[in-house]
Amino acid sequence: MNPDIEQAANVNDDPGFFYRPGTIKWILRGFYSICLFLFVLDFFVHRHIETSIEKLPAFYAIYGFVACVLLVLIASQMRKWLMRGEHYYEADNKQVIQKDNNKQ
Amino acid sequence: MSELTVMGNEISLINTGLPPFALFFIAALLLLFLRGRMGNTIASLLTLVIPVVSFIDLLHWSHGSYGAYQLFNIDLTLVYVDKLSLLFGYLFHLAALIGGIYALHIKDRVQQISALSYAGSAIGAVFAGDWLTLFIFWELLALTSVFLILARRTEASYRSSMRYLIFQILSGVLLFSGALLIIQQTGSADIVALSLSTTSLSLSDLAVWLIFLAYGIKCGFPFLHNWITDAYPQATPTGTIFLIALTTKVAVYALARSFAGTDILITIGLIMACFPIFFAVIENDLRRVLAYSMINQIGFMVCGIGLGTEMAINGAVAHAFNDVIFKGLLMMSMGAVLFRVGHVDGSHLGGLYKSMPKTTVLCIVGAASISAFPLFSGFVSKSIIMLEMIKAGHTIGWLLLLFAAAGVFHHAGIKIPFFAFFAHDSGLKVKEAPVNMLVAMTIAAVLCIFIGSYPQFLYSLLPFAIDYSPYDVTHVLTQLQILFFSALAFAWLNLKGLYPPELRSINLDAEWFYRRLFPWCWQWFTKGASNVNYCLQLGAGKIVRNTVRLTERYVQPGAPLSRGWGINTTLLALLSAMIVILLFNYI
Repeated sequence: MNPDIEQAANVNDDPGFFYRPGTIKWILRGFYSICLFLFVLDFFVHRHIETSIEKLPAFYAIYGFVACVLLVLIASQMRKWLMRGEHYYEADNKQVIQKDNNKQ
Repeated sequence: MSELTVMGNEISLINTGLPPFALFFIAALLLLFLRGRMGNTIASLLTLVIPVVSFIDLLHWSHGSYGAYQLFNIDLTLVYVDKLSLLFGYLFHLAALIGGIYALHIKDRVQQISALSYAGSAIGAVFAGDWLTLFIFWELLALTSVFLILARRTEASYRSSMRYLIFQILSGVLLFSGALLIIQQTGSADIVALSLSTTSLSLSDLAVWLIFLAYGIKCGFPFLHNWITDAYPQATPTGTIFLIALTTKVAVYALARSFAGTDILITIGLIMACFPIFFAVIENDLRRVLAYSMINQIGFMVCGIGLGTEMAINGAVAHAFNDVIFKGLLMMSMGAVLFRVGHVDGSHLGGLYKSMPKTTVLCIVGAASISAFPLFSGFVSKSIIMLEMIKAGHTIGWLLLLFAAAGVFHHAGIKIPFFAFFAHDSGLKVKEAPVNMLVAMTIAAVLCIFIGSYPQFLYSLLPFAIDYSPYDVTHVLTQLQILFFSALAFAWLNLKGLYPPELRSINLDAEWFYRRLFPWCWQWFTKGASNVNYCLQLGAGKIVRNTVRLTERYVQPGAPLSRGWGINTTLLALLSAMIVILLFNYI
């Protein structure tokens, strides 16, 4: 273990600015407001269009959301097939793990 | 000062009189002999001074061919300068300087020498005017960089570095074979534009394919990409900064010079842009996430090169320039975490913004740049490639790039800073990154914002004239929509508990074929061969034993063959033999 690290023995009373429920709530509210604003703006701003598919209202917003949800759901399914233990490739070769553990 | 020929005129090489890469190698050689505390100081100083001096020297170079020499009666050109090579030359000097500052606290001479000579090799490669000079620097890239992985000094990094070396040397061998064939066919060694033929396979076509494959390995084409995700996360925290900046970008440069407008590159680029993001989402090692992310960004560049228009090449080159800086920044921030915490596993990080606030902010700047937020560098280069894709009528390709762009934000823009610095509080309390690391990251962050806010600076360096402004209402609005709604997807999936948790694991990729399947096949083959050998030995042993037993049985004292024959038996035997011989003769 690196000597510079201290694992917090006791959890502080203050969990930190970004861990306070109030902060998270306000960040999310602000974020949702921006999303809503960008979505609505699409109906008022004239966009230059290169393809017919862009004519769909809020095409970019919908595409971004759907693409990312699909990305994560497919990737999660991939785990079932592809995930292995972190020493999978060294499993036949215990000395690799042992040597590196000794060094650490 | 050596006299060299430029377009028929005798001129002297400017200032130092040395080719652009030379100072790096001279400094690397000098470092070999430096010892003690004073030696350490001079070595550290040299890693900073050399990129600066060499860069100033490079500013004086004008377009043309320099340093003509002959090898085996083949005319070779040591230095070829044009806008394309100059841009990459500037970029590699910048990367060497930022990397040098980032690694200033390192006193490891192996890494210092390796980094300097590696940067020199990359600069030599982009200025090479002929195939053979390119090959020499191509191989030097491999040989000098491998020490940045070995310097981690773990068994895993040693094994990884050997796999890395095999890929790199293989690429060099392919390049050399292709180069020799081209020289044999055309009689010229000058690096020229090549065209791939899928209809015929003459020797010239074979040569082009060999070179294409050599570039493809270094570029991380699909199925040839795992050396990147294998070796880069195993390198030292500082070494990775040099690695991500140089090798693959040399390959991008080489592709842009020789294969611009090759259609197949569009398909390859799209695959490269899309498939790594799936792996990046479920990868736990955050430096490996960035390695996948790098393949994804190179995918954009390869698409641009495949499109081949002047504007698309500009976009690809500009994106390569930006990628070195923002990917460098992200990798530096993860390197700082690795340096302080000892690992970069997303599953065991989180909450580090409290201990490393400056690194957090700088990482977010890198994340915003790679995600192409307006006013950050990615925005001004990625959009050129996407626009050219749509103009070329590749709507599906454009949709895939849009998907990849959203995916980048997801895994590099959000995942990296979120899991390292926020997410669940891991309770880790560490020191902020060392000052030199913060300085290097700040320079990269300032450049990201500068290029993003004032893109004309980068545009003026591009190989072709460009009349493009990324800042119009449509582009800014659509980009913000795609980014914010990608983030919305992330937030929604997280709140719903659908986002895959970070787990200590690895994911199978194309490397499984050579790290598992081939060893298994080899084991199976050797086991089979050993069994056959055993059976043969067993069988042969049995035959020999039986023969000996049989012989013993018939020749031992008193046995039929050791008894004296009577006259009648002898005569009968002779008569039988004669009859047999006569019969055979008669037949």
